Amino acid sequence: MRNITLLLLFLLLGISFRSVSQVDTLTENAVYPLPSFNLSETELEGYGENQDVSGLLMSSRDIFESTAGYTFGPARYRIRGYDTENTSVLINGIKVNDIGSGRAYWGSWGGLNDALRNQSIYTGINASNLTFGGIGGVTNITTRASAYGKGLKVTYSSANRSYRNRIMVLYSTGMMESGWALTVSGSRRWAEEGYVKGTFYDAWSYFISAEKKINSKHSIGLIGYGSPNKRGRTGIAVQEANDLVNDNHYNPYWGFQNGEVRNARIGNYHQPMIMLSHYWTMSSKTSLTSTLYYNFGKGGSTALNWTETGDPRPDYYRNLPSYSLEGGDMEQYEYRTRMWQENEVFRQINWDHMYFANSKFLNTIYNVDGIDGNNITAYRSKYIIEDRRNDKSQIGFNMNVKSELNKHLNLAGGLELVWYKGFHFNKIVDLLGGEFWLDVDKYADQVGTYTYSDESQNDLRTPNRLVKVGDRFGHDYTSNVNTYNGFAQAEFTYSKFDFYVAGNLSFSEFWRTGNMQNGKFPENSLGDSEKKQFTNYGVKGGLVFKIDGRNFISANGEYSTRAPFFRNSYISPRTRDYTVTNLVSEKILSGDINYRFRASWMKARLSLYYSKFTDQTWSRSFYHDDLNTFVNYAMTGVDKVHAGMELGVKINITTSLVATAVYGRGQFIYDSRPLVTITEDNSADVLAEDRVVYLENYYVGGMPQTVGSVGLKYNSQKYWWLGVNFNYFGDIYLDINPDRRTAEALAGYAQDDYRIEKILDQEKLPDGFTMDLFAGKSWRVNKKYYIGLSLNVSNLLNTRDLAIGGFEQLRYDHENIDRFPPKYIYLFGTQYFLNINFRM
Amino acid sequence: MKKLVSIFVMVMVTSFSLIIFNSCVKQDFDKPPIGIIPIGEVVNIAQLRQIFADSSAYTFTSDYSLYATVVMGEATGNIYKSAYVQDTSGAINIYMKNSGGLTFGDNIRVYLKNCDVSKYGELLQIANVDNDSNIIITGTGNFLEPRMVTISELNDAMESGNFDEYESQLIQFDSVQFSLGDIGKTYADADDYGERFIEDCDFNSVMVRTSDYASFAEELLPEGKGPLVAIAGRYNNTIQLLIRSTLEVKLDGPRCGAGGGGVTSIDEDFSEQQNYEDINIDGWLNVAIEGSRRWQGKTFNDEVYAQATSYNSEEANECWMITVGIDLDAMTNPMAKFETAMAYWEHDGLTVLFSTDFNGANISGASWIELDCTIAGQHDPDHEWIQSGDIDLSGFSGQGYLAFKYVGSDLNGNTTSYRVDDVKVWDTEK
Repeated sequence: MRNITLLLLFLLLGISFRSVSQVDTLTENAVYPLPSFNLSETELEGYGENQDVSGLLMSSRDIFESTAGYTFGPARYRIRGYDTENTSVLINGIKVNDIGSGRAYWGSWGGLNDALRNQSIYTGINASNLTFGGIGGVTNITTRASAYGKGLKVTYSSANRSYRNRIMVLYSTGMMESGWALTVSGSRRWAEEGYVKGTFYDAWSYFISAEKKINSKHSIGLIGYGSPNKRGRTGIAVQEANDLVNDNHYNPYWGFQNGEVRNARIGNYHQPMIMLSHYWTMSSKTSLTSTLYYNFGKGGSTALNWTETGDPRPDYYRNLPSYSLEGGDMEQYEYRTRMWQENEVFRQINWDHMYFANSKFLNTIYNVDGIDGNNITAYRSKYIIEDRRNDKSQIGFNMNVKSELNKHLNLAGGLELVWYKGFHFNKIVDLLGGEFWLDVDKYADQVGTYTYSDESQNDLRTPNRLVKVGDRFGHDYTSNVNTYNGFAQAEFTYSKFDFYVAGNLSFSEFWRTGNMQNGKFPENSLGDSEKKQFTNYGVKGGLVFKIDGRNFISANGEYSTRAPFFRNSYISPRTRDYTVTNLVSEKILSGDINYRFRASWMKARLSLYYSKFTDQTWSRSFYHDDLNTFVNYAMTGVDKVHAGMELGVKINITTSLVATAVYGRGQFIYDSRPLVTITEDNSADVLAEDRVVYLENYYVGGMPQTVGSVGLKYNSQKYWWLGVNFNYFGDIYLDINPDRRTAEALAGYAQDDYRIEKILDQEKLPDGFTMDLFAGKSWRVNKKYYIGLSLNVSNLLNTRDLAIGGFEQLRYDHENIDRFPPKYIYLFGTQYFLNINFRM
Repeated sequence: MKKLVSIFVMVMVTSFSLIIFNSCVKQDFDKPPIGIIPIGEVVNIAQLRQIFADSSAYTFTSDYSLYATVVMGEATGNIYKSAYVQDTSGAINIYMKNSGGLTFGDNIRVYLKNCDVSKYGELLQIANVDNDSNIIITGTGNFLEPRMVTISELNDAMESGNFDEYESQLIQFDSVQFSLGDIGKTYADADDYGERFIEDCDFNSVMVRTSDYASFAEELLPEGKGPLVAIAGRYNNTIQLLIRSTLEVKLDGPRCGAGGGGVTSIDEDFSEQQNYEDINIDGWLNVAIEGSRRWQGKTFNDEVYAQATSYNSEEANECWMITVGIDLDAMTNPMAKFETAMAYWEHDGLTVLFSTDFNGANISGASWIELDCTIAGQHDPDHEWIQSGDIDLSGFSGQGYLAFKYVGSDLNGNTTSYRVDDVKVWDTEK
């Protein structure tokens, strides 16, 4: 009730303001790749995938937003604490958020910065002609060929981030007399080794946009782009490993093979998009755009898998010195400590050893493919590299209409139809010297003394199957999602007031199609599952009150419901089609009020916001090595409140000197007692069912909730500039393990046991400061050519011990909480980005 | 100025081309050379045993190899990080650093450098064995036949200190059964090892120990009798048999003494029983469910009877004496009677029960009805025989069993001794 009152208060107070910002051009164009932290699935699936859209915000004109993008983004800050599924990212009007998870994957169009720089960014609740949008806002990237001016742009960048070199070329014809417009672009980004040891980067990208003006009313456009991207990933190790190596960015994912550095975790993405659009200008006031598109391709990440031997990962807890200490083996402890500290081969993956072990594991598999007497004897791989694939194929159709009914009223509406399939399977990439891998659940118990039971079969239809490079194995299922969405919006403009209202209605359905018959779930793994269907709606509105030409007050509010995402809905989609219990739509209530001042000497914005998420579903899985399987956590009924303020001020002290100040203070907390269900991938046993999680008032962890930055920039009349920023990050909490906040977790402890506090407490990380520097110069030659040079240096003081996030491991030991300690994510040290470009 | 631009463009284009050509990121890896494990001197299991006898714990520091055949791997989860191997000179346990890698039938070479020969609970083992570096599989499918043994052979060997003769070997018993006290239980307990006993018809018994991680841990023990294959393990001076798979526990024949059944009269005065020996009557069951004591024969003034007591047992006891099956359907008006006596009263410990769904083996799985009869109790004089009175069994049908259940505990003083004699079943119509 209090929440609604608050929201009403906001609405009453407020009047809307649209924080629309068009893209900036020459200056500050060093859009650099954000660090992406990829935690392994074995730790926390889906936790750290690169879902950051803050890169988009860098080109915002709003000082708060662009600072959030440039400066706070690398520290994992998210505007208003929202997950990216709350921000709609559109390319040419087509929503490109992943259907299965709602997230926007920045990497899908990585390296196309110049081609995709024509962006409109609306953050928060806003009017949008293109889509209803989430409460985080709408960003649209215009890629219509006729929107590009004629010209050539060539850019070279040098950096010490995830890549070290980048070349981008963009050529655009502009609208030619023939009625054709063509823009092409391509890029190459690479590094033999990026900022973190053992990571390479190998990416290309391409972009083509063609448009033919048929007559004054009709144009046809074709757009295609893609970014084939291969990169060695970096893992997050426990502090013990970091301390031993004396590097908070110790990367456990690589090792030496034949003396060369090889990474076991290679991300490999290529998901091209093709769009065919029809632009119909019905009159000077009304236009209709229709687009048919196809988005498809592979997404995968390789990983080590092993069987019949020990865990080869160097940072596995039993491979760390502290494990020897547990057994009181001081000699072994000292030996391992010394080896970790001094011997790089020892503390990394030992590829040579894996080849060695695979070369001599002679194995006979009986009744191969279920054929009696079909016995095959060969060298079986103990260790392999598998590719964990999440491919997709999505067809969509969009229609969008805009009409200026009169000078006070603009109408807009649209239809979005999406048919999506995600393909989730494992594939053998490298047998590491062995001859085959056996496709059975490696930890399932057997019945015979040398044969495998039905239960252990990953696919009952071909029991005891031998798999080789290129074969699918383990799990193989398809996620099917169809959504049909329509929205309408009316926008009113008057001299003192602007206001808008919009509504949205959608129908969605999803189901799982199993392509294997799992031996443990023979009736619930193969074929189509039951369809889950949801009808959802949303309403929003906002007002702007223009006090005078300088002072604006605005307010916005939205209430919407959202169908659960596929990836959160199944407890263990790899092996079966069980959905979480209580699968219901999420409810989102949000509002903000804003004050904006705009004058030549100062621009400022102050916003207050409040959002309440109700009935969210949260799921994670991690590899539990005692249970020998993936363990899945699914929490339902997760409510969250995100409230806070944003302040951005930009003052022109002189015509050359600009001062900026940005401050964001948020409180992102859990607001309910969700129920958690814990299951294992390879067992029908339920470890916990609808266990109450006492989560109220815990912080949403993993990011700074308070940020601040002050900066000074000097813009010379002679086309050079120099600036400096001082930044603050605070209120960073660890992402929590829900199972530690249950009555069951405390069972067996006396009331005054000191461990209780330790189990329940949520760790707050220390605040941190950083300093950034940026400079640049541009030249105009013969009034025809432009040469630009810019340099950004982030974290100038090379602070390498600032944890900007982290999480408690989901696995924990009741007796010894420290056995599986939290993992911390540290800000990278000093990084530079040098950019040189040439335009004509 | 134009010149400058041209030069700039040329430099850019040239350097771009150069950079593009040099931007290949290496991702292909060469297969590394595979290290060779030397053979060195070859030893057999008997020699390993001798090495331990000579030097107790011993660590190999130079090249030695053992050739052997795996008789038990981890397939069903009953053992962990472990395997049992044999050669013609004996058998030994291998304790590895990690789980996995060895399967029944593998011919292996164990490269002994850095491994230890040691004992764990008197079980000889090769320890500190690295799964990858110390084991080479040279062949598969060599399924050795088990050695035929009897329970008393094993027990005698253990008692006389000659268990080395059998230790860690794959053995088979021709015909054994799980003891009735264990029938109705699973191979292992919910969170602990299961220690069950198999026996032959002469009450010779030996322990079968099963890990709760075994795939068959939750399966019920079979109730019949038949052949059983196991590994002869030990812990100190206790023999611990390890089952590899329930496919090798084929206890589906009739149990010892069973097969009679279906009598229409009983007249048992225990006169054939021996003083202080467990009651052993053809077709009857005498079972220790808890503790080790069973009903025993006792002689007093030339009179022989059955007695159960917890006195001085130093444990809790539950023992059952169950008659041969009674064919109630073949009788018109079945009746039963017996006499009981009590001594040194501390508690009521005897109940007399009747079941018509007992299958001859699974006591806890049957339903037992307490019979309405008179039993010696607290207020009766010690040693005095009390008549049960005639018990009408005509309300029952099918195969019936009469059971005398004694429950007591020396630990909490429930030590009353109970005696049973002259058990009679008859048909009044005959």
